[in-house]
Amino acid sequence: MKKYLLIFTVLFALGCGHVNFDPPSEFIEKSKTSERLVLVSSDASRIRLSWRENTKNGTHKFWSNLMKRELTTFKGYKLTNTEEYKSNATIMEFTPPPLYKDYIYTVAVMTNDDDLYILELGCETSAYAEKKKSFLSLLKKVYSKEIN
Amino acid sequence: MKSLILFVISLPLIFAGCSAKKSMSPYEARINMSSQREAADYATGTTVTAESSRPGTARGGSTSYAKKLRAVNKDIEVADKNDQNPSDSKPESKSDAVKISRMIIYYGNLSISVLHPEQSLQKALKIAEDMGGYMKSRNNFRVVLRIPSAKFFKFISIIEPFGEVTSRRIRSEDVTAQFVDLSMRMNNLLKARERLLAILAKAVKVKDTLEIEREITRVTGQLEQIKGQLRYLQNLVSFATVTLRFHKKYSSMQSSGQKIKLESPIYWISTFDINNLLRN
Repeated sequence: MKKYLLIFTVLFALGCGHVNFDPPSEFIEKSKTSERLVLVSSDASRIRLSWRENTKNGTHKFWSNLMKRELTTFKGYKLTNTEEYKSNATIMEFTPPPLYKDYIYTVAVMTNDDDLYILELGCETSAYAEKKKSFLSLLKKVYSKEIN
Repeated sequence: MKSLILFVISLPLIFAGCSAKKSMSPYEARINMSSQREAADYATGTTVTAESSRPGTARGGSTSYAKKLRAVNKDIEVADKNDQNPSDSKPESKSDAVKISRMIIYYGNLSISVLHPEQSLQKALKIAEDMGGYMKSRNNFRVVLRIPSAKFFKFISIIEPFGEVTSRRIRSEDVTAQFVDLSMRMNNLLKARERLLAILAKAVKVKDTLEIEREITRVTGQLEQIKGQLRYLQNLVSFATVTLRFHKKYSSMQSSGQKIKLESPIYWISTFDINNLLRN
């Protein structure tokens, strides 16, 4: 009986949360809840993966448009690049307002019928190429495990 | 003959009156005045309303709030002087009932969304200084100001139109009871010390002298502590504490086309930005 209980507890613990991912290279886990994972690198770059329950008709285009509007219309960001990733994800690159003029902010929005994942990367422009590799590697993992 | 008898009878009364007046402590004098004023108020049917207790609003016609504050300040100064020259003060326990006009501390807390926070803050500082106030502390666009209580509401009414007030909290604290209690304790301690000094003058034995001096030191310590508390309260009553927070307002109006942009219907979307990410 005890054995089954233990197995059940372990399985339950493993199943909890939507952001159970290992950090990509150069990043370590800073904090984690069932819906949010924050990773940091030694140069203080951040990657954050957030999960939210998706709603009917909540496509990745809908959410990415909403986010783009919020950032560009109200917060002074400039959209520099947009690309589609496979069929259910959008990656957007932004130049932040003057306070963070030496930084790049990248957001990926991924959806399926039930889940909405938002993956963010914030780092200095000089380190962007390197950090984007880690970002994309995590994006692939999330996409293959949760979206597909 | 009759007039002579009347004169003789009235003599002790006159002397008693004079001595009572002489021995009245400054606090008692002011308290007496206050009692008389309140009695007059009650007699004329004047009651203390929220409006009349507002700083800067004259109560009972002629006596302004600032005048009252000055009177209390003066009393504390006089008590200090008496304390330095105990032989001059003659506290007398004619009446222990202490009545002090209402003492209210005002606090204001405003968050204002403005287009230029720094400019607005500098402007607010200038107004505060012009009104006789001063800056207590500043942290980015959050500033704590001390404004003379009499000008508290005027200051708020000038600051509010700077932008869109996102949060407004104004509260007051009535410390009259605390003030009365402290004043009474101060009076009692002053009297106790007078008595101790009188006993000290009569003491012969060294042991007695030392014991009385120890007691005087203790009483003096308590007296200083109470005076400090009274001064602190007085300062809080005299100057209202106003905390201002200025936030940058992102104009929702396009400067050229005057087109209104509606805010996002999904509130949590605004939590996604680089500032929030890097500070996580």
